[in-house]
Parts: sequence; structure tokens; C-alpha cells
Amino acid sequence: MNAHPIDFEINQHVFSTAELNSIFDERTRYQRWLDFEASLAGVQAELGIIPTEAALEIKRKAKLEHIDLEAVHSGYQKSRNSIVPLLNGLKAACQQGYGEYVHYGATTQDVIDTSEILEIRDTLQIVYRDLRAIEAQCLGLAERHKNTPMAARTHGQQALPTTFGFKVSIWLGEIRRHIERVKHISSALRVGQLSGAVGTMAALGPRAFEVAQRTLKSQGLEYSPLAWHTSRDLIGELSSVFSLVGTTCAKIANEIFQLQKIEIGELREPSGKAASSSTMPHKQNPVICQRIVALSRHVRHLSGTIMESLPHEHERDARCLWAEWLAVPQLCIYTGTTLNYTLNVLSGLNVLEENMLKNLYVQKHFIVSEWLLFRLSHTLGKMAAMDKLRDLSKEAREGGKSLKEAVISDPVLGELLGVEDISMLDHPERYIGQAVKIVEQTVESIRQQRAADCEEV
Amino acid sequence: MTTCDLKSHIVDSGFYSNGYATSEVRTIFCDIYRYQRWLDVEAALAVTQAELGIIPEWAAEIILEKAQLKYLDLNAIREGIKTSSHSLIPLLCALRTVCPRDAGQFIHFGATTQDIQDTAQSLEIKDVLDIVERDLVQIINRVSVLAGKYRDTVTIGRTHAQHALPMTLGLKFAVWLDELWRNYERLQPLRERLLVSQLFGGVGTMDAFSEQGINLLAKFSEKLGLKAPNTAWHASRDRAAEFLSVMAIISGTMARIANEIRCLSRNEIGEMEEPFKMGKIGSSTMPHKRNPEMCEQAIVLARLIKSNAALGFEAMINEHERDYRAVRLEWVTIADSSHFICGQLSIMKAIMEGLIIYDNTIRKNVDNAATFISTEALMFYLGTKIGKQTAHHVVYEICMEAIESKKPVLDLLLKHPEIEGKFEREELIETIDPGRHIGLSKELTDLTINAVSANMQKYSPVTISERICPLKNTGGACEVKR
Repeated sequence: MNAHPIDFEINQHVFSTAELNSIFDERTRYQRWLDFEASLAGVQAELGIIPTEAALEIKRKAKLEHIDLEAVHSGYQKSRNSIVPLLNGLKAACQQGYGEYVHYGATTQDVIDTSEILEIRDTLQIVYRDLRAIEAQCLGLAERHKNTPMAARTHGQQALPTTFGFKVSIWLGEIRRHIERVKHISSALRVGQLSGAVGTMAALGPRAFEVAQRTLKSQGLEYSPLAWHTSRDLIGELSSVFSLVGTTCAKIANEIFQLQKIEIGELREPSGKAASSSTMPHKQNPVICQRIVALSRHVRHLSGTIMESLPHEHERDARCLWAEWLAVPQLCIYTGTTLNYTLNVLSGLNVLEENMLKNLYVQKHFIVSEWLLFRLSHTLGKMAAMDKLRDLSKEAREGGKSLKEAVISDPVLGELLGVEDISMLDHPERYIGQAVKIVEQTVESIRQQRAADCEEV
Repeated sequence: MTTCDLKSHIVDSGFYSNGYATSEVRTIFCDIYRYQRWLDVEAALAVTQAELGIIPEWAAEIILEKAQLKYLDLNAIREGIKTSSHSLIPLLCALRTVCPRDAGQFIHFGATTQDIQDTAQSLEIKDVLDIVERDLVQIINRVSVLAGKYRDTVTIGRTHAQHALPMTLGLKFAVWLDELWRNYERLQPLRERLLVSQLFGGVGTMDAFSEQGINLLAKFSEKLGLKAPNTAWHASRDRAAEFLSVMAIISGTMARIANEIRCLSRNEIGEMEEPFKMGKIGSSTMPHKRNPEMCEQAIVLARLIKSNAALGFEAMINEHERDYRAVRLEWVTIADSSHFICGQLSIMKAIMEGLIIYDNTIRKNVDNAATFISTEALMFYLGTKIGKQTAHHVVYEICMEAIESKKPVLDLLLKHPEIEGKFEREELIETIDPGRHIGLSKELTDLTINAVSANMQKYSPVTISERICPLKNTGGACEVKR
């Protein structure tokens, strides 16, 4: 039975990827918990806390294949603890009573929190890799299209000319900041958990610090004497970073969705042979872009849930903890899937330069009204020119005239400006300010930063 | 303390308030009006208690006469709140001070603070609902007119932001109309459930009211025009949460309409535009700009209202018999959402009233799109001879080829091996005429207009009387501009 779309097997991987699912797969997680227990026992044997034979036996049996999962399953029907039935399974698998030394002084949350950190770290590698791949795609787009003119829009209305490469440069800035955020959060999120029921390490014995340090080290993690059972700020920070990452993807996807409108037709997500509608044969829908927007909404709301779950009460608060434990796998899977989709869309993005240029002329010269404003400011003064042009724009619009016609036939402006002077009106693609230089600087700066990136975080 | 010197909330801004609220709704939540309402509730309590012989009649008469904010020392109240950290007692002390013959001993006789504040909140919500209902009706009427006027205007239906099939503009308006109507209908049961008083004492047992409690509650409620609830709702806040949710739904409808207008007013589409008049400025540096800023503001307000709805659910989780951590959220959320919804409705009324429809552009867009948006009809027509699934496949292939090659669909289609010789160009041109494929657009529009109009007959219109500042004519200037 697969009731959650993350796990669907027929319409597979719409809201997940195989790679991300494998991190959070139930059996993988149980094995991760068992690995923790085996390491703990090993360290405790080294320090003489439990018999060496016990640790060896626990290590041998701490494999899912040795555990009676049927028994664990029925254990979970009776127990309300998240881990005890699995530990009972391990205990039962161990011979000569060595199972008594399983989970010796740890608390449930030590195991699951440590496992959560490992899962988050695996996810962070994917997020980092894909963000950098997206950045590489955007670098290519920015360079290829640094001179490709198009309309810039504010309030959904055409504002001034820009270039597509410039638009992509803005994306590049955001993505690079995310990469730095991911590096930062990854350097902080590497501390495991092993401090016993209320964080005092009471049952871990006099050598508790060594036990914790060595056990967590064996899991590839660092150790802190301070328990974070009820201090979940780093998980909160992670969810904020993922929200930011997902939202940038959604912003890019929404831009493509908007610019794919038939009347605009400047960008199109790659569609291959995919059919979009069951009843309208002509349709080419921006399906992947819409999935990105939908997924990122979930990411933001999961982040809200995690933030809600930060104020833990006393030394343990399951109401907060369980909300977080439920949210984190979805948060990671949705964020990773969003990035995967974004990478696919950008890798095959269709840029329809012809339509971009065509749309610059939709408004019959109005798009360069600002140029005209500054051209006239010298003689009329900027405020007076603004008023004049605003009136002229309205008249021209209502009379169905172009701005150029209106300017030439205007008694005041016609005198001031010759045909040569207003040639810019016929070439809005020239009024792009410093766009090309900004793209070049951005690309150069990001290339330098990429060179300093490490392979993994 | 008769004027407020600092006005940091946007709804109180002397410059920007109109984008976020109306003066009308601000007279509901202005602290001066609010305090007067609390005094009115205390007076109603005293009078009812006198009627039932719980307190002496002479005392109730004095309380009723003196329960006017203009008699009270507002500075003393402000200082009292600082010292006591109590939200009501300083007001009651000030009232007591002005009551002769120690009638003040009989103020707030057995009630708890939250009894008074919650009862007043119900009265505030009642006033808000009146405004919301009145404005919704005006918008409904206007959209109904638009639906009728554009009943026959063929336009492009869009899905996934892509051209889908033809429809009429009237039907687009009719869909709005139906949604607007459902919002209107939502208000009726809301009034039934929400507009209740609160008078149960410290933990809801009516301990201080003796055996008269239930009778007192009934008479007190009747006096204030509220229903009497069965039990205390000090810690039971589903009503407030429902109010916030319904406001979020209404604002969501408005935002969807506003967003549609914004989308359709893009330069490349140009089918609609929000009202424009000379003097409205789109940009400080681009003289040509005409921006859909009213639509955008309506969406901003919907987002704010939506966030408050989430806080409404938060405020439902109360502990034991009283929990200020939850209830105090409402002091912000209910006032804010009320301001924002009334501000939004006022903007939407203006948008709908002056909405500009560019018939010529709509026609031009439909003509340009004709071949593509009628593919469903084309598919069914071809399907009569080659089977519907085959036709879907053929038309899909041809459309994709046409998009890539920019060649006309019909040219490509007539050369397709499945089609060649089986169909004539003329019959296909006729087949794809968008006007022939609007389905039941007109009928559905008529049906909706008629149904909404019939439903509206069932309700009588709300009347709203003007609220007068409680400090008027006492020399205390009030900041609310009417």
C-alpha cells in the first residue's frame, strides 16, 4: 500500500526522486539506527563499560537481515515508543544474553536525532550539487543571452528594455547566495546526539564524554556536550534555507510560466513529446514549472510547521519533536525534487529571441519613454518633461498613434526634436543601460567563487 | 490623552491608510470607540441586573448616565494600565470615580474582564459583517451586470496560462458571480453562530450571579442584540477562527478576480484594465506606465488576511478555562483582518465599477488564436471519419509542428496522410470558428445570473448607521476623519 504520492510506484517520482527517497526509505533508516547502536556498543566495549563479546555480537546482529521484522512490526502495534520494538528485535537476535547491552544508557531521541542529522547531511550534498548545476546552466544562459533584448516588466506591464542574460544574472545572484547558505548550514549541522534521557548523560557512566565523542565520530559526526533534544534552532534554520532555495526555484519557474503565455511566447520549458491535455490536442503546458511552484509552497509551509515546533517545553517535548520528525523528510524530498525539476527546465529551456524582440515593439515606442524623458529634460526640465510625456502618452494611446508620431506632430516637442534625435524610439533594443556589463561582471564574479567551491559540503 | 501622537500602524497612516482600510471600519476598532463600547456593555449589564433586582435601580441609573467616555479621565486610565497591567480595571476605576453615591460599587458586578471584552468583540464583528455584506452585494450586482453585458462576447479560455478553448467573457464573469454569491451566503450562518454574548464570570460557572445567572445572560444579550450562548466560550475560540477563515475566503475570491484583471491587462494581452484616470501615475521614471496597482493592492490585502486566518487556528488552542496566550492574538488578528477586508472590498468596488474592457483586443486575440483554441472541436470533427483517439494524435502532431515551423495548422493538416482527401478546407475553417465552440457559455451565464438574482431576493439589505466619535464636542479632537 502506497498512500503518499512520494511513494507512488505507478505514477512514480512526480513529487520525489529515487535518490531522495533512498535516503528516507524506512529500511534504510532502521539500518541507520542499528548502525548507531552497534557503534555505541563497540565504543562502550573499548572503554570497558560492556563486555567485548557483547559488542561483537551486537555488531554482528545489527543488520536488518538478522532481525525478525514481523516481530518488530507487531511490537510497534503494542508499543508507542519509536525505537523500542526495533531494539527488542536486535536483542532477540543477539545470543547468550548479549542483547542486554544494546542501547546502554542512550535515549530514543539520541538515536533518531543522530539519524536525522545523517539524513539531512545526505540531502545537503544533493542540494549543493544541484544548486551548483543550476548555477552552471544559468551561467551559460546569461552569457549566451547577454545581448538578447527583451521587455522588462514591472506591475506585469512592460517597463523598459533589458536583456534576457540580465534577467538570468539576477537569478545567478540569488542562487550563489543559496550555495553560500547551504555551505554555512552544512558546517553547523554536523553534531550528533548522545546524552541520555534529559541530556545529563546520567546513565552513560563516568566516561560519558568519551562514549559520546567516539560513537558520533564513528558516524562521521561531531559531538557537543550540550544536548540539543529541545534546542532545534538548527533544524529551523535548515528549513528556512530550504524555503529560500525552493522559493527561488518557484520564482524562476513562475517567470518561465508567465513568459510562456501564448501572447508573450518568449520562453518555453522543454516538453519533448509530452502531451499536455487529454482533450485539447494543441496544448503545450508548462507542467514542470507548475510542479516547481506547487512543491515550493509545500516547502514553505513545512518550514512553518518546523518553526512552530521550535518552542519545546522542559527537557523533552514530543508534541514539538514529532511534528518536526514528520516534516523533515518531506521538507528534504520536496526541496530536492524542486531543484531537480528546476535543473531539467533550465537545461532545456527554449529561448525564443524573435518573440522577445517582437514584444519590444508591442507598445509602439512607449517602452523607451524614459529615454525620451531624459532627452527632453535638458531643455524642458525633468518634471515638466514628465508631465508633457504623460499627457502625450495618453493622447497617443487613445488615438491609436505611436509615441513617435505623437512626438513629431506635437507643436512643442516637434520643434525640439529632429527625426535623427528620436532614432532611439525605433531601436528600443539599444536602451539597455549597463545590462551587458552587469551580466559580464556577474558571470566573472560567480566563476571566481565557483573555483573556490569544494566538492562536497 | 485625547489625540494619538504616534501612528505607526499602516491603517492609521495619514498618508497610506486608504490602501489598507476605510475610515468607516476604523471607527469600529479605534480605541476610543472601543472603550465606549466596553462602557456600553457595562451599562447594559448594570441595567439588566437592576431589572432583576441584583443591584439597586438608582445605582444602575447612575452607571448608565456616567458610562460615557467623555466623562472619564483618559490619562488616569492610561497610567492605570501601565501600573496594573490589567486591560479593563483602570477603565472601570475611572468610571467609578465619576459615579456619585458610590454607585461605582455596582459596576461589573460578577462579570469577568473577558465577559465584557468578548461581548464587545461580538458587537464589533457584527458591525464589520454589516460592511462586508453591503460591499459584497454591491460587487455582486456589478458583476451580474457585466456578465449580462458580455454574455455573447467570445474570448479565449486559458488553462496552465496557455490558450485552451473558446468561451464567452460573460461566462468568466458568471463564474466570479457564483463564487461571490457563495461568499455572501457564507455570511448568513456566520452571523447565527458568531454573534453571541459572553457573561459567565471567572471560569464560566456564573458563580457570582447566583441563581439569576441564566436569566441575566438572556436579558443582557437581548439588550445588546446578541444571542445568548449555551456555555462560556472564554477558551472556546472556534467562532473567531471561523470569522477569520471566512474573511480569508472572501479576500481570496477578491484576489483571484484582481489577479485575473492584472493578467489580462498585460500589454501583450490587453483585454481588460482596471479604472484609469488622468493623474494616476504608474512610474516615477517611465512616463508611459499604467500599472494595475489597485488589483495588486487587493492581492496584498488577501495575503495579509490569509496569514491571520492561520493565527485564528493557533488561537483555538486554549488551556483549561482561560488562556490569554491564545485570546490576545485575536485583538490583533480580528482588527487587522477586519480593516484589511473592508479596505480590500472598497478597492474592489472601485475596480469593478470602472473596469475597462477592450472588446476589439479580445476579438483580435480570438481571431489570432482560432486554429489552436478550437482543436478539441477539430478533433471531434475529424474523429467522425478517422476515430477520436487517432484524431487526437494527428492534431497533436500537427499543432506541435505548426508551433515549431510557424506554418498554418490547416495547411499542414490537409496534407496529412490520415486527412488528405477526406476533408475539405472550407468545412475545416467552419469547424474551427471559435464562436461555434463556446459550448453552453451563454446558457450557463444566464442560469447563473438568474439563480443569483433569485437567491438575493431572499435577504433584506443591511442598513448601517453612522458611528459618532464618543469624544465629539468635548474638546477632545479625534483623529478619525469621516
